[in-house]
Amino acid sequence: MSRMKIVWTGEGTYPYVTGGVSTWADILMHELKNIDFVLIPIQMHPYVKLKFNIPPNVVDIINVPLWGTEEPIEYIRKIKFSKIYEAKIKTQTDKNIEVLKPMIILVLDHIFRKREELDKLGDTLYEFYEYFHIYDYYETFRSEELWNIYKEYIIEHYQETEKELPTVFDMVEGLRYLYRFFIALLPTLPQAHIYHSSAAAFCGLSCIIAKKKFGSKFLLTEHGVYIREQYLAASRNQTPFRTKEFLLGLITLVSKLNFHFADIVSPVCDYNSRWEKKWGVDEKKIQTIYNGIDTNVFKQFPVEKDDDRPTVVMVARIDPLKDIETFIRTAHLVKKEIPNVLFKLYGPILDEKYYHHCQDLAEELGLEENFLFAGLTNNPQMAYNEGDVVMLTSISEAFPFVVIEAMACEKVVISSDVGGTKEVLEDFGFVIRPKDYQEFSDKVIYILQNPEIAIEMGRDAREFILNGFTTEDMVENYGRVYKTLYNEFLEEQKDVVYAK
Amino acid sequence: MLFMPNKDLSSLYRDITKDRGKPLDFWEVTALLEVYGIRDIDAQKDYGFDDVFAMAKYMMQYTDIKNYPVKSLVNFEKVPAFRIRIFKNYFRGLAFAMPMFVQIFFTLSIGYAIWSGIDMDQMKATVIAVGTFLALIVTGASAQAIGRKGLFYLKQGEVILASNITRVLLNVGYVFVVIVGILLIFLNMFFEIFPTYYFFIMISFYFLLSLLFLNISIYYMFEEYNNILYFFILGIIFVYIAHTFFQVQLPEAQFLALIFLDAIISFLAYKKLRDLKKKDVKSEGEGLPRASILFYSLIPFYLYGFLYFLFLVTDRLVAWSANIESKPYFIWFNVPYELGLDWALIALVLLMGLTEISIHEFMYRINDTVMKYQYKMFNEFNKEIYTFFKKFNIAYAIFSIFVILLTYFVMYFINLHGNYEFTKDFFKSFTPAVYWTSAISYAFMVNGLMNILFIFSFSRQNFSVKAISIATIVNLLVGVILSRMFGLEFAVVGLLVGSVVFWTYSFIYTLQMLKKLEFYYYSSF
Repeated sequence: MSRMKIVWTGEGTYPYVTGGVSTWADILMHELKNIDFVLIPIQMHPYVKLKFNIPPNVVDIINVPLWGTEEPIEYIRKIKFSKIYEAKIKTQTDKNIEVLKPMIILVLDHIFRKREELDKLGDTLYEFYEYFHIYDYYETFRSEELWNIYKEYIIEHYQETEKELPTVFDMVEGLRYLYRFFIALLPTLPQAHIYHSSAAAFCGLSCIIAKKKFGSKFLLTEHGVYIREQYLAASRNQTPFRTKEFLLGLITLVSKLNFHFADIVSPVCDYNSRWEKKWGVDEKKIQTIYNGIDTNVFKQFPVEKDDDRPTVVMVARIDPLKDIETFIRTAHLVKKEIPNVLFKLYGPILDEKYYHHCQDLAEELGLEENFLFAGLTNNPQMAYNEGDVVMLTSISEAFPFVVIEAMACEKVVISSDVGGTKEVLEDFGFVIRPKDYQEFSDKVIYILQNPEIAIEMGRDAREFILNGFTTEDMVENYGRVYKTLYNEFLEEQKDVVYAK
Repeated sequence: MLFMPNKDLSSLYRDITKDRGKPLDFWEVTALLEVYGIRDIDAQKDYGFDDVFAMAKYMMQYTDIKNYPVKSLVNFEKVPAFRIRIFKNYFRGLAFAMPMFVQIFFTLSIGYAIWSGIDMDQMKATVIAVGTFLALIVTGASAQAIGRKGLFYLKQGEVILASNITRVLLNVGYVFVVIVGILLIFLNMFFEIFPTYYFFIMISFYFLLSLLFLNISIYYMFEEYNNILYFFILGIIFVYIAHTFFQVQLPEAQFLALIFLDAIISFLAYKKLRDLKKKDVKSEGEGLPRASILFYSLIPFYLYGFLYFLFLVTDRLVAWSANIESKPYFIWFNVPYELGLDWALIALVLLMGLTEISIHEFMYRINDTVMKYQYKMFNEFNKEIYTFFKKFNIAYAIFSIFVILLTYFVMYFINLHGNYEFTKDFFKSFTPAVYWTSAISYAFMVNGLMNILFIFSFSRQNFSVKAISIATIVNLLVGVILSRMFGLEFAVVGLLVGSVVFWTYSFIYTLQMLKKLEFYYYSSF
């Protein structure tokens, strides 16, 4: 039996950006040594260094930068320049636009939610893939013929619209988005048993095409809720309404395609499946696989501290979604009861303006001696062990590593009830309504004033983590799913051979 | 659903959409509710809905109760008022051409500058000029490439890559310079075009100026035009001191100045690129493109840079090689002709200020207007920008006439009422005729440059190569024919016709672009 070969795809994460998704991917690559992996990371641009040691069973990396290149293909395909040039000349002289026209229109019909024929659209994506292996992507999208097809469509589509009419800018941005994001169709896909996408996003398009081309099985893992994150980003960016309509039409379409073609959808917590089901994922496909941590690293150990102050720790980046304000206000209330309490926040500053706002708030509440912005830590286990209590005040999470890491360190975790935190914390810590700093402070005070309870809860928390949330558990679960899909693939291939 | 009818959630709606764009659909409102901290259990207990999704659907009725901010392409707070920005941009553009102006100014006033000298013997003047032209032509290509690619990375905040690629392209530039230099040496060895001493002067100026031009291209990339000006002034001061106080002859004083300048600028430019890497810790410096694709994308810039400078010097080469039977060598510096051109260069410098105005005003207007016109009215959008283009060109024409006349009459009045020897030379021989013809040529050329800048900004650089190459060929052919038929000064007519051709081509292409601006705007990636 040949070695299992899996193509892993991601967006803005492994192996160029650190974070939860990257940590998860790195664990899988390192632990599943008997599997050959090929990585197809979609990046914003190509200017980043590897952040991880790539194990030998990662046999290839096909980078797909969406921005920052003069030629989309330059980093994506390792072909001779003469081939690129040939394709350019061919495209400039005869790009066979009549073939492209119905494909583009089908995509646009789906973006604007006029049709829903996902199987047909999947075939079309494969046709796009084949097309752009003959013709040059850049020349095609820069052609007037393509622009005219698109423009005619937009004019016709909005003919009856009376409110929020799109501007010329909105019209231009739509096709530009298509140009950018369909770059994800350009890599020459290797044959593999399984394609594993780490988001219901553009990185999943390769998985769909591979399914069509090779019959590969498609595993989709959702770490966050991609659709929700994109809605929030567009909202925050104050994107013009009709531009947003196109962008989110495209993104939700891509997510739906992912959900439709995936053989298994594995969210990292049950909470994520909430949005998935609303977007039409067949429940039978869903198999939650929780993230795991290294419980040999994340465990309780003594930490030398400068003083013996009761300490509350939070490990979170300084970003509005982490709601540092609530952490600060909690500190203010706890201080009234426990004057020498210390609240320590470990995390990098992602939003300077928000950081200064938090600093001002801490000062305003007289917390100079009780609140510390401790900066980035590369040693979160040390940070957790410094604390008598660990908090998390996020207003938006999927399944935060912070919670299970702190639990493994035998800490009582008091977290906002967001994402999948309740699934793991409910009987082993405290789950609080977001922003309810009064409730947060009550629980913190309770735990700080009852250290024996804290010890017992901490032990139970670790016990719970040891039974389902370790790296071994996670790897085993993915190994099992990979095996299932691998066997299905082999069966199907056998049927194909027999059919022939 | 435990829905409580008539529940007013408009206040909550305002809270969750604070500083946000108008929600597209209930999915967006759901996401906003969730990050506000509202869970399914809160939607049920506090608001009486089945879940957050149902609550969001209900709240869609509020989408029209407020106005929403929309991010604009133009940050109006940072854009100065029209008159101020015209003024600022004009002087920015002027700063770009100031080094050239300083060179001409000192040549005309004190008789010499870094690479020119009115009182030098004609042989020296010839070889220095030829060395200068070669340096401009050979380095012009690299300067364009450095400007393009260095700025490409700088604008993305990729300072490490900007530094690395600039060094790569600088090194390529040095290689070109050396290869051409070696070819020139062999050419002169075999064909004995110039005597050794004069050839030495020529090749020294060629190498020293090439080094200078390549290194200042880095400052052009950073748009530090003032620093370039200071370097030039420093160089001229050095020549002045060496020549006036230490009696060092020209061109030796100029050699020393160039060596001094080259040493300083090379060091400072190297330090600038090196310090770039220390500035920013965010950029990681990976991902330089493949050489083949890098140079494929830069070919139009290399060609354009090369041809642009070739175009600029063609008429001089044609004029100086005309009627050569009476001259010692195949090319011979002609003072009246050169004076006329230098005089006209003053007008060119004054017109260059408008290039910055044009590109800024166009981009500002396009980015502002593109969000104002409805999608169906793309022709009106195009027309608005075309109307501005028309008005700008009319203003340019008027301004250029004014500048050409001003430049002439300032010299005329200085000559009439002042008592300066050097001004008399401007009104001898065919110098005034060369002035008028070349000043008009430069007016067309600068307008053509503006069009080319516009075309570049829409990533349609291939056209620019076509325009400048045809213009150069026309310049050469017309100049050769007329100068051989009627006299060397008629070479300037080649410059005029070539400039008009350059302008016409670029103007027609720009008009075509403006007719379909929405398409070119879209495809400018």
